Amino acid sequence: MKVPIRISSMTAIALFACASLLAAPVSHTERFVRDFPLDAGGTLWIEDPIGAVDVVGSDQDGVSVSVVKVVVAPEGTSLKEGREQTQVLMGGDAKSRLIRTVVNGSPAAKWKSNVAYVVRVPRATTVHITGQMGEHIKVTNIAGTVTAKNTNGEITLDSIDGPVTVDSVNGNIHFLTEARPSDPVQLTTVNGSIEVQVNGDSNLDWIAQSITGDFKTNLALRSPRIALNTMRGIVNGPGGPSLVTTAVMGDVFLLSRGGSPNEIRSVKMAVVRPAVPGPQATPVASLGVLQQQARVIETIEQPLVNGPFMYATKLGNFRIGEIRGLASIQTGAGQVYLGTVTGNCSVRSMGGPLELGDIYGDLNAHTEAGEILVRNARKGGELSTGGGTLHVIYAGGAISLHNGGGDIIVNQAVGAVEADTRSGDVMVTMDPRLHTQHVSVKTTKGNIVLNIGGRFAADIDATILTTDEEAAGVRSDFNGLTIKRDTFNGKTRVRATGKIGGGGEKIELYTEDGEIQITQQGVTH
Amino acid sequence: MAECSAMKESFPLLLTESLDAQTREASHLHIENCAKCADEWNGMKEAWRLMGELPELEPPARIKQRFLAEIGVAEQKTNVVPFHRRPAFKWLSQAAAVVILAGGSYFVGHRSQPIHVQPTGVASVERIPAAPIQPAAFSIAETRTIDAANINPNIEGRPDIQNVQFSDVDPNDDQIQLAFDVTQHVTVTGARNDKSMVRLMAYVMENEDRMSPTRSRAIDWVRQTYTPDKSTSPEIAQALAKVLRNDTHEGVRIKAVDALKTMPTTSGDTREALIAALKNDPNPAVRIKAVDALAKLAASGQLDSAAVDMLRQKAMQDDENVYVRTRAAEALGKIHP
Repeated sequence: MKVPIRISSMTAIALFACASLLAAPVSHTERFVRDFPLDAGGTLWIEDPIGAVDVVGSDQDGVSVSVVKVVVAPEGTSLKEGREQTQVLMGGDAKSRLIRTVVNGSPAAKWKSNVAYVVRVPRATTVHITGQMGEHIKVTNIAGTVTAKNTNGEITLDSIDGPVTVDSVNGNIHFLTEARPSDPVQLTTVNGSIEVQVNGDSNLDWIAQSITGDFKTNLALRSPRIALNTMRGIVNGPGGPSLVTTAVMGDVFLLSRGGSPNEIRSVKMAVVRPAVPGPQATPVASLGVLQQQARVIETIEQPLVNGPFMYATKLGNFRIGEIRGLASIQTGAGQVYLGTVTGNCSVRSMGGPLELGDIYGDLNAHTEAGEILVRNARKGGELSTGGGTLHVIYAGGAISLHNGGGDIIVNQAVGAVEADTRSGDVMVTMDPRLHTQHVSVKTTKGNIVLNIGGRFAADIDATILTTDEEAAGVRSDFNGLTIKRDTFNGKTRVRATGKIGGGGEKIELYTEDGEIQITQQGVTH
Repeated sequence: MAECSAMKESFPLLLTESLDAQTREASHLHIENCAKCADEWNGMKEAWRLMGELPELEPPARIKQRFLAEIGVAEQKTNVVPFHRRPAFKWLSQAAAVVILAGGSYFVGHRSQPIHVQPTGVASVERIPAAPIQPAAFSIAETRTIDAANINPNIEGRPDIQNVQFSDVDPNDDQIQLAFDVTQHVTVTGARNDKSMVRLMAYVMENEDRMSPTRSRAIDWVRQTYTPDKSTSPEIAQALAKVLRNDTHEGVRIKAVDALKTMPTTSGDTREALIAALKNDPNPAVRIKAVDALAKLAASGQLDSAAVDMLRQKAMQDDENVYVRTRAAEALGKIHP
């Protein structure tokens, strides 16, 4: 009996070993070098969506391209497919050379590939590089024009003497030179940061832009001016080339090569608070130390604020459960959520949705862009948005609603309602216990639905101006309205006037190219 | 005198121009030569003209109810839109559309083959014996319930459907109902992803001819009903994309992009609509929601280069709302190798 057991154990071990081997990923690395003639002053184009690109200028003639192509797959068949579908193409002539990586894989492909290039070119070459997801793009010692573009990965330009344009989505950008720049430099990244190191004597016309970041330098900056998110200033003296640095969500550093990190100061701080004595030391920036800084908007989050809450920020989200006192919030952009505010509540946002819960005091809220949802405006208030749905679930007092574009919905109003929107439907439901209340609704394009109780009394003046001659007009569940049709400025005007419930507060409804419905609560439609 | 009596009897037909040419000519000759008939004719013409200028008034509900009871017709629901008399070609077109929508029973078992019903022409109405549709003018209040599976999914013509209602009687099953008025009250029942049901839903969402609140409600309902279902027909997303592109009503566009954001399937067409909305829509709320929808695609690795370029452009755009810019930047931050 022992022999068969031994054989079976050995078989199992062998099978396990084979299975392990089969499960291990396989890879293939291919290295090769190609040399081509390229005239001095010629152009090199490189497109490589999946790997690192290094271009070095030299005094030698011609182009030398060193390629490393790596394909990794879970098994042999996929590996073969990956090798076939990842191709390196080279073409052009002595004036213009093109190097391209072409990848034809579907997103579901099991293999992955990477092609890295190290290219030596004459120093006077014009270099254009388009990357995508490669680890980095690095260009060194070029006297011609350089452009580089990618989505992810660092871009470093070292010792470039010609005009430069760099555009990245998520990568940091480094522009380093011992010399004084004499040509324009434009560096742009959305989520990365920018580091520029130049000769300390350089003259530059520096324009820097950032929404969330700062502009920092240890160079002499003359009369910097900041307007919104843009800073403009002269470095050292006038007459230098333009340096445009845009890091939408990151910082911008302009440094003297070899200068002291301790002298780096915030230009924003210096401009906004000039009274602050002395430069502020920042031990952050030195050559190559920029970290990936894909910032998100800061969120001020508190479950409870026991007292008044006043906060102003250029950019910030707010998420506060309860404020026991008044609330005053201003943000350049961000979402605002307030659960309960026991005092008056004022919110101003240059953009972003507002969600407000139970507001005991007077409410005043405005956003330049985005929705507004208010669950309970006990004393009513004034709400406005530049565009977005404006929704009030309960208004205990008079409420005024203005919308630059979008629907307005009021689920239950006790006080007077004033609502207007540029383009959108307006639906207002009055408290069913109300006998009368003033309502004024206007939409320049949309429908109006006013829902009132059976005992509601009012003087109705409802007007529709429309290009539709067959417009259904004003529909009402209440008797007592007289409807007239006429032509006004080439359009059909339908006007319904009259008293319902014997008359009361005035209800004014006006729409263009829409319908008006005055419905009675509890009546099924 | 006998001739005058006969003439007076024909005045109503003369007014409505229903007499044949020969009789009409003879009548006018008589009126010209008979002062009494001429007076009577002129009076009748004036009364007819004045009647034409009077506003159309809805009879009081109580009188209407009593009248309907006397003639043996059940009270209509108050929300049924009265049928407006239209020019004949429109009437024919709509009648044909009703036949297309309601006459599906004839086609049971034949759905695998394309069916083409002419949008106009009485002949096509007569060709469908299984659909006992009465002429629209006599069936205003009639209610019909039709299985979506029995309807030709091709909606031809542009039927003016109004008073649209949606319902999902049992949320646990796949069946939904769509009811509307189109010269008669029609209720279509069927599976939510049934081709005919999807086409009807798309038609309701896209139909901007009349600014009724129907489209807003339809989009809200589609969002609630279709989005949790991963097998949602791409035609629903395409219809929403079309609304997002073309609708002039900003509230409706906001709803469309909101619904599109939650759609499980995102075709190239809807992606292009989102990109176009982010680029051009004047309403900032639409642009914010378009960014959010593209951010969702970015997180799932479905973002193409056109979308990346548009997000990049928006993040950089100085005159764009800062919130839109930062959201665009955040969306781009989700792109990973």
